[in-house]
Amino acid sequence: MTSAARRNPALILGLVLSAVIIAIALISLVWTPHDPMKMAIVERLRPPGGSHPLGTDQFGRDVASLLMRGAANSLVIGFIAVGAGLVAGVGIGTLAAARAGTIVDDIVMRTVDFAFAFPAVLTAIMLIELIGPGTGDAILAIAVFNVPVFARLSRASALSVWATDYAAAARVSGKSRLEITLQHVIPNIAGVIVVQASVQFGLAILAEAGLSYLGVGTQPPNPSWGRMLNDAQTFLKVQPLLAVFPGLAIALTVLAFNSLGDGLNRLVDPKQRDAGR
Amino acid sequence: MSETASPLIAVDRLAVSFGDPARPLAAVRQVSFTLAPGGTLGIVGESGSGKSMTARALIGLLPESARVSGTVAFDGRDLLANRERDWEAVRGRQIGMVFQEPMTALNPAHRIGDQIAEGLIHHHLLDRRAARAEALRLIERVGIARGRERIDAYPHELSGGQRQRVMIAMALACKPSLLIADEPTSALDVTIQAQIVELLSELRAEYGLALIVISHDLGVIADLTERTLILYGGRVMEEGGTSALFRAPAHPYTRGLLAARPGRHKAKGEHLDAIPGNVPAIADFPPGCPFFGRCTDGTERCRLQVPPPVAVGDSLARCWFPQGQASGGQA
Amino acid sequence: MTALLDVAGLTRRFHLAHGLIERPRILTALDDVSFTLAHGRSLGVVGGSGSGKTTLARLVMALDKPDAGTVRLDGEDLNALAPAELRRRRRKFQMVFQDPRGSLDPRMRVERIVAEPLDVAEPGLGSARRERVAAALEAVGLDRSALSLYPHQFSGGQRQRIAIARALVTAPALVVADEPVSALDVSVQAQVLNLMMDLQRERGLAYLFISHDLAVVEHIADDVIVMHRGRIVEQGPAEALFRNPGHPYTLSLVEAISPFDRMPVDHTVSPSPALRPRPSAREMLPSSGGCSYAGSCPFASGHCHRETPSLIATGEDRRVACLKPLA
Repeated sequence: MTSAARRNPALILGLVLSAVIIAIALISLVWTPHDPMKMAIVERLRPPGGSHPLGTDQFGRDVASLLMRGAANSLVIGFIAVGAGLVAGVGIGTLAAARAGTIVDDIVMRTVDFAFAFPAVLTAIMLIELIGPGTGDAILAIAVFNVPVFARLSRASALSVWATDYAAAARVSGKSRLEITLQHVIPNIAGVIVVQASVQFGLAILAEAGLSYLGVGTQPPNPSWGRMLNDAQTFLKVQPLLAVFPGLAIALTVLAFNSLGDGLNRLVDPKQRDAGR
Repeated sequence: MSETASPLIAVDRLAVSFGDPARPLAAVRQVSFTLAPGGTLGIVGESGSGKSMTARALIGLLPESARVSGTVAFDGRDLLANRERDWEAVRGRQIGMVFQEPMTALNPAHRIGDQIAEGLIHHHLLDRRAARAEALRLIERVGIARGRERIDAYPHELSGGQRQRVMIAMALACKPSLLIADEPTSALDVTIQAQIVELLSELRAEYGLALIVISHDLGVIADLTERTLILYGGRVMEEGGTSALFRAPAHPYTRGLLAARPGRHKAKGEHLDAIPGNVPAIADFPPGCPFFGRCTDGTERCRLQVPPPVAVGDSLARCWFPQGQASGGQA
Repeated sequence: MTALLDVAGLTRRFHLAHGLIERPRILTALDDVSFTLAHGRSLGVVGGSGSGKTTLARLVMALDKPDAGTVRLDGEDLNALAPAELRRRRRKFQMVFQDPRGSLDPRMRVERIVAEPLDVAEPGLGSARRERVAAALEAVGLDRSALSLYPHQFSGGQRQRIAIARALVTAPALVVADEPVSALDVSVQAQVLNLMMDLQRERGLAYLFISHDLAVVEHIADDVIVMHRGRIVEQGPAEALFRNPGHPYTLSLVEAISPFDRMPVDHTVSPSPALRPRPSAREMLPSSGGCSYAGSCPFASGHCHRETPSLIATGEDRRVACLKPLA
């Protein structure tokens, strides 16, 4: 373990931090120090201490409890959004790669480029017009934003698998393009996709916070780190710590998943792995 | 050891290893040889033989993680004591190097004329103008047609054979006293290979170069070198005069290598005399003779004890049971 | 009797995009190539890089489509078959690639790798599948314990055996071997060549054997085609062609064979380079018109730079594309 940590500190940091964050989120579903929804105006804007270790907000809600429940909210949104973006993106990317050089490849990838040109915020605002504000449009907007990322990455990685002799050997065996994609391409690109997914997960949490901060993501009274930041703005002079805690939570979570991605990358990249030999 | 002329390069018990110091992976083990000024030496070996690591040790290009011992005396100085700054004065200036794949050894972003001239300018041998004139002379000397046009070409605009000629021109620009060619023809077509071999042999005579050729191709070694070292599993198996060694190989490995080629000594479609088994991973070589396990004559002693060199004819074979009568050494 | 493999007028061009300003160039990788290969025979294909050897292999394997010409296997035009039909036919013609490090999927176990053509040819074999794979492994000299291992657990020579087992598992009639030993250690090349010769004798395989190593081709092949810049410049029985080359390019290839491959190991005379024709140390230029070899050919005249020679019969089974053939 110690030598593994020395060889790949990013992986260890990422694993430990993300495990802690996920644990906190899971615990918040069954237990929080206080009910995060419960308002108590008399207790409003308390500094940290006593029964409120991180203080209270402008409605007297317990900040620690809000952060914990907010973690669960962020992780669920990130997981669904990145998961949906990954499945759609890898599907599109591997399809394009299997038909590389044909009109299918061109159409698919140009469409993806077009989608990539839209900022997530704009997508989210358009979706609100369509389906109304809420968690759903945040998830959808972030997912849409993730599709091109995975599509481009998986197309590029799949193309290099298609260029190998073992892919040619599979064609010689009589395997169809779909079979080759499922049996050879996807297993061989899975590593890079997982790495990218953990990086994207960190970004998705940041995006969700951003959308909620703008008021187009998670809607009150559901706790969200982005909303907490937004609310804290008004009371920055009175209680600046209100902005510090959610900010720190976002920063740590992004750091956790980026480190995880970095560490996993080192683990799957044979060039870096073999450097130690 | 008998002293005839002072050697240009004297390698003594060179060893290169990697990994955990408690259980090192020995890539090169106790390799020794000398080369006189203007002399030629072939180093033959396959994967895991240590031939490339030996070459890299001579020019200070071993990976950071390598542990090296022994001495490499060049012009009386131990190169292994060099720091990176000392190497810069040696590489290119005193020892030139030609690599297997010129596409990766040349800088794709620079014109070939500039790359050839660079060494001359860097070592303060010539000014910019004179260096360019010398680059043109070299380009024409290494046999590239239409040199005046090609001097401003980029590497990707040249064929594989042309790029290898450029590599040779670069290696010779500063008139080094030793040229190391690591698989100089392996990436080229057979007809081009023959041209490059011919070029190297011409230039060697013209420049009075000492030449070390590293190759798995016995034909290239035979065409270019007077003496040959056969490496296997990081150790020297046999050394001697090239033509004598190939005419009457004493070590079972050398004999096996020569016999395994499909040649005129085999009728068409007849079974070739293959060496049994596979080249082991570096960690899996036996403590004694590395060829033990694939050798038909292997005994327990071969497995456990490294054989001493035994003179057989004009060659030295490191084998407990060399072919031919052992005229020296004792069991 | 129809030939097993009948290649006629095969042509393949590639469009080289060359920036915005320059006009796109067309590279003719294969130009009007025709030959036949009978059951149980070996046809060697030799030539330098850019000669079209690999393009030919890909077209014969129907991994790529020709711009003109046909590839017939047992009389059937491969490129006229529907994709699903072609995939079913593939059991009859298989391929061995140059580098077994690249031709075996690193994430698959040997059993699945070798079974790949079998899964298409005979799906639903059940427990018989493992036995068929084990038998194929045993035929190439590997133990059945290899079944559950991954490619990286084998040496280069053993991996090439695995690749050969995969090519043989459906009992094909034709195996295209693209430089099958040149990525292997010198000391294991002979083993793999012996194996390939044994398998041919036992199973009546036909080989299309592509190699740059003339000594190997001479040893293995019954007939040889020599390619230069996408065209066949000479074809004929291996022995006659190597002993008495008809095309100057063939001669240059034969002369480049190392002295070791020309002499027995226990030769009494040392190799005497002086007796061998010395290649020029100067670069040869490709020609712009006429014979593709004229620029490098020591015998070329002005005529050769203008007229493109066609492949003409010069003797029994021998054809040479040269205006001034040597034999």
